[in-house]
Amino acid sequence: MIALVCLLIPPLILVLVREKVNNGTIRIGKAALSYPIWVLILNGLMILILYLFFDNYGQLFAKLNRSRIFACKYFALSLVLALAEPWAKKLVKLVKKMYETVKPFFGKVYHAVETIFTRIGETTRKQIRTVAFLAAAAIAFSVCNDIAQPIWTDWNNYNTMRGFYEEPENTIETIFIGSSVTVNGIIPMELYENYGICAYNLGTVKQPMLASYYWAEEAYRLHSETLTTIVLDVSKLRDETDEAFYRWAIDHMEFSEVKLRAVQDYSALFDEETFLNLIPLLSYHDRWEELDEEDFTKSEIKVDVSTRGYNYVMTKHIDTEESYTALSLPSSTLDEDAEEMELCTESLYYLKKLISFCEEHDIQLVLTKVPTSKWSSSAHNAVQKIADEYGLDFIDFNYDPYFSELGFNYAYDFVDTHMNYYGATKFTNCLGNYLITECGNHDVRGDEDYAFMEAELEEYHRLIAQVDLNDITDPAEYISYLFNQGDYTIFISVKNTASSELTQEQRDYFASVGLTKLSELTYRASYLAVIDDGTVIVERSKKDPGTSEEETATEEEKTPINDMEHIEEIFAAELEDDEVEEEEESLTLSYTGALSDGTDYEIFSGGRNLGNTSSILIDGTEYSKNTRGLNIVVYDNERQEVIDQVCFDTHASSERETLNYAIRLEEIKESGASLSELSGIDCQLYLYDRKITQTQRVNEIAVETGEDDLLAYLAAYWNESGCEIYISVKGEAADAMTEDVRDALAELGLSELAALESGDSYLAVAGDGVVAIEKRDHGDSQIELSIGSYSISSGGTDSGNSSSIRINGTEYSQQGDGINIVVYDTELEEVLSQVTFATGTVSQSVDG
Amino acid sequence: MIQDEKTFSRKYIKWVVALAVLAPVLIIAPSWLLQDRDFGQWEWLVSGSQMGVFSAPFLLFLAVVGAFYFYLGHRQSSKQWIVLLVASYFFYATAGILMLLPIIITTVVTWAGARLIEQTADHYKSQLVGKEFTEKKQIREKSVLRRRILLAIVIVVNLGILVSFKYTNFVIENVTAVTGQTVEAIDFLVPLGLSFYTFQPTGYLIDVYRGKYRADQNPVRFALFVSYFPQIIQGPIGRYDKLAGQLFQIHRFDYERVKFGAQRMLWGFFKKLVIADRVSILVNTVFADFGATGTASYEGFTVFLAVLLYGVEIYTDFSGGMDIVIGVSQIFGIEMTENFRRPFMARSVAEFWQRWHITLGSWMRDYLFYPLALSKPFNNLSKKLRKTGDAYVAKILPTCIASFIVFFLIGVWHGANWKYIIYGIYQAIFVSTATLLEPFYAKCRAFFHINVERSGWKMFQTLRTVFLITIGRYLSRANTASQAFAMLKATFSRFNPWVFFDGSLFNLGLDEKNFRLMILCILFLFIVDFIQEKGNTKNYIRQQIAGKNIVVRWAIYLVGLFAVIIFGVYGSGYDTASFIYAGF
Repeated sequence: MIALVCLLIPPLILVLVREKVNNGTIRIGKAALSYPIWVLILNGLMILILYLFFDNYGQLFAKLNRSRIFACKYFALSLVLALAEPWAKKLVKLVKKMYETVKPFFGKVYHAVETIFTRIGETTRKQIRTVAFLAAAAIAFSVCNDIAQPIWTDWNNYNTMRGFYEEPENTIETIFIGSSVTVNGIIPMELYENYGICAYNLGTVKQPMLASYYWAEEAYRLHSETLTTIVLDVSKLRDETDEAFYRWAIDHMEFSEVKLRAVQDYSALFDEETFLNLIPLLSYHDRWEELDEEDFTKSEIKVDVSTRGYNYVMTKHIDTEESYTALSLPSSTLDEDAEEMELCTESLYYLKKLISFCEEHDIQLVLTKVPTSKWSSSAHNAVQKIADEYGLDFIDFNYDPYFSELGFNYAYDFVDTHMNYYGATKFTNCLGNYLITECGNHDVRGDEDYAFMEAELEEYHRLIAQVDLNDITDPAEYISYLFNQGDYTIFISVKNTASSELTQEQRDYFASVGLTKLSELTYRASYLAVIDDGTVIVERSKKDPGTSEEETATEEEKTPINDMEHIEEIFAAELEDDEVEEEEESLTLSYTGALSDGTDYEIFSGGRNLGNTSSILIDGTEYSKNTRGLNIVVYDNERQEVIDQVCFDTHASSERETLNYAIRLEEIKESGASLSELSGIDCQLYLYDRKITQTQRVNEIAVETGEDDLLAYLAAYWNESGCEIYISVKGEAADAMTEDVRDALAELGLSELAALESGDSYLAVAGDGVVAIEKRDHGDSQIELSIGSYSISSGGTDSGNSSSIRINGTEYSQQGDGINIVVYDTELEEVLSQVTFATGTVSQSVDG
Repeated sequence: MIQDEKTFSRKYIKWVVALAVLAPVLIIAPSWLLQDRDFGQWEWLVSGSQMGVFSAPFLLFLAVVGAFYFYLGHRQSSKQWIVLLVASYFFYATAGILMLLPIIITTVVTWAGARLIEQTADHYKSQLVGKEFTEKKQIREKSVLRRRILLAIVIVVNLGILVSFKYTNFVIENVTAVTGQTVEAIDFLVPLGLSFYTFQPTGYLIDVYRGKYRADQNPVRFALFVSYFPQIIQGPIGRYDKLAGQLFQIHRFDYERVKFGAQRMLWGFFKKLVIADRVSILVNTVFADFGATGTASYEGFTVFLAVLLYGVEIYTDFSGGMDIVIGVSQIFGIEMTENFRRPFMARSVAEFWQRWHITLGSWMRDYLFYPLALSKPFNNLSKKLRKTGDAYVAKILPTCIASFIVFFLIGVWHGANWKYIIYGIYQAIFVSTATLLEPFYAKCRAFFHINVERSGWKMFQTLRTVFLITIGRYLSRANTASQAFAMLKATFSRFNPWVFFDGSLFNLGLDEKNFRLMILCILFLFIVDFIQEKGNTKNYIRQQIAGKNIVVRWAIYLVGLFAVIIFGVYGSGYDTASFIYAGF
């Protein structure tokens, strides 16, 4: 487009200049008017100007630099135009002549139209004009209206709102309303696939109860014959929402009596004019400042009906956090006596309306609460009270029995405080069960009225393709899966090296599907391929120059860093490298092409010594993971979007770890690997899981052991792997120790503790069922022990009367009279428990 | 009817006594009744919200009134003007039915007063027949005296109502300040257009007193003259001889006239909604900063720019309102006097006041300035001065003093605040001394060899006027005189031209895009004003546009319409930030 402009303007300028010279208004030497030279100069100038002042069009310069063919074509065309000037003039003369001959005809037409108009009386003409003007104004208004209305594609909002109206009337049996936790938590398509329920997820971000109520009404308006259940997530009963989210929820409701009342209500709430809020141009006219491309191309956005309101997210929380410590711990103990929280008045008002509405229309209203770290017993109790009052079921997944039934894990079932696909499937299936058994929902599979659901189901499967792909660990299987599903474009690009661990089986498979060069891939070779719907479009590879296959990748690790001795040479080499970089770029393999829907792509690959890079650009956006191995990007031709970006590090291993973390965690636990053998995500998953179990354990033990349960306490932690027990006595700790207790202690291996005498200092370290160190002093000295990160000291009654157990500098001993114990988990690097048993005064029970 | 002196005198005394007795009641009643307090079961009399001119309900109201009006016009009905009367009273009563009380009082009292004055004049004129010179002189003097008394009473009543609403609290404040005893300020429900609608009937009354025309016999017709809704809010202040005739004529639907009226309204909406309301955001930010206690953060050019922009704001707000009401009136076929004539092109402060709020200026001139300047005391002063000194000064000084008084009163009329008094004096000084010091200025100009014909000099004059007027605006916009002086001090305490380049102007309440849009619209406004100045005929620009071909015309109208819809400052405002989901 810019090129076209650049092409046309300089010649035009020149024509004008020439004219003026001929007229005599400007004087330049005739020689200076050498047309071709001027065109070249002017074009060059124009490109330069664009480059300097319009930063975006710096790409123009870069593009010219990159695709020289384009540059040549451009200038060649320019020259041709320049040389063709005399013929151009003749052409113009011809066109003028034609115009002259044709003009009278047009003149007659114009004249005829004019006469018709004059025949119509003056007043009628005025009336027609007024009407036409108003019509033009109305059209312009409607266009501006469409542009002004913002659409929100985040959180599936656009699909939810528009998709709802594309569903056939009187088909939906259950709707889900609530805030973003609902949007991410309920997958209606799963309900259909597993239970045959026709449901729709009408959740929106921070959906206020007002909007939930009106969407219930709206759903009923269109599905009055089939709607029997409404499931409300009660998150928004606690607080109010910003005005913006009323619009998120209500703006895209189709205009009807329901919408009118909804808008009236929220306008009154915020002291706004209903009239303004009904007309997008009037309420969003201030958006003129921030209009962008999306606003003008709204009609091009396709609605994905298969979501049925569900926001598909695959991110796992643990991937986005630096450490598992950032993840919340699930807690399922309900404090039934917790004081009820005060809920938001506005929400309660609309809840009551919803309850009445459901009663009136014989719809079952179910209250539910998704598992989350932001709930509380007092909130639960408040909602439970209301549920009891109106005879509604309240299914709170934060507490048992539902909590255990769901069995979720914050690490890989959640994105942040919202569920991802994995969590949502668990949650949805729990509810599905409930809907069938308790709410009498029907199984509509096979019903011909619901045949459209099958089509949606197919689309849905394509939507969630990545779920299946995540489970696959073998690259050959990965590609094979995509071939079977069909209609995918697969981009493969090697970075560094990818050949070492490819098995013969895999190579055979690649050869069988037409990826011959991949099957013959060598060490550090570059390789790229594009496969469209099973057909190999392009396959290119380039062998690594000169490097022997036996050399291992650790060669570069042999070179020392910060080598001051050879720094001059290294620096010189680096400078040379920068210069050579450009040359190197041409070493990389590249290919440019277009997808079947017209989107451009570029793919680059560089082996270790051939650029060491991988790049897969689709429509300008980088999708390659750009790490060592086979970088694969999968583009769904039907959905016109990238659905997966992975890298198989086939230099390190012929298969990758599964991306299904639930499976991965199981494998880790089954393999019995110890912490030191794990790294990366495996380590985090392991630790988080351990943290959960340990926390539960600690709570259990704390509940079960009282102040006289020293033996039970020790027994509980004695054999735990990864736990260290630090013991330090303060003051008097022996007086109340009975024989039985001493015997039991000796049996554990704490012989010195068993022999503790009044006023003794004592310290010990134990773990994994073994006593590592034990020290006792009968005299009047304090005893100390300091090893690595921990240090313990103990002082009996006459020996300072103190106790200290420091780990990494922090004091953890409770410093009470008697036996102070600190249990430390070495894997989690956390203190699990700190207690004091006053064995100087309280006699301990023997039941261990 | 010729009656003898005695009967007339008796009747006259009855009138005067009746009026004099009623006067205090009529003055106090409105302000006593219309206070913001609990009305109990009578709440319905004062509940309601005044329909604004820049609102959708107003357009609907216009459509309905227009429909009835033109239907009757089509039927050539002489009752057409009643539609306007009903509409006017309805419009006024949207604030509450009791709010009609002051205007009804003014209407009745002025109408009655005018009739009485006329009757007095007629009676004494009839008495003149067949009398001798000296007797004639006596009769004339008596007539004048008696008419003056009636005039005075009515004016006192009308002004009294105005004063009681507007200046009571001012008096209370000052009493509190002086005596130290706190008297509570009163919260009035001020009737719409109180400061404005008193002028029109008062002018009429004085004209009748002067015998310029006959009094209106019909009180209902007179009521329309007083309450005509386009002019009731902010003027323009009309004259009976020009306005009344038009009001009671029959007007038909004229396509072109209605079109021009609608276009004028569009222009008014543009000025008000797009420019005035946008500028006010910036102006308010700067002025609010000085209003709060503590140090203000704006100084130098920023403050000056804000005040300058305030001048633009008040211009577009006021003249935009004028455009709408004149446009509305044009639709009905009633031509109202222009109130603004490109005031920013004035070349002197005196000229400015001939271009700004023209009808007020001319009203003051006709009913205050001339009577003062031509009055006996001023004449005597002039004679005295001629004896003592400069003949030029002698001629000019009385008019200067009269002009000073007039502007002082205009200042006071703006509001009950010391700052307005200072404001009035400030304006008065410039206007009144303009002619007085003219010889001196001429000498200066000769000294500097300034050619007054050159456009450079004219430009300087214009800029100088803008500067002087802007200084005056400090007083009119600031809340108190002390705030105004604080702002003046801040303006001249720092020379900071960098504010125009470093983007700090985008932090005054308007972001960069809005600020640029504002500047663009103001430039456009001035270009339009400039064009109007050159082609100084009625409906000039509208005719020009109408002359273009249909595509251009429609493009201009549609762009104008959508500019108001898109760029107008109305509605709840869109805040991008709150639409970005920040989490659970």
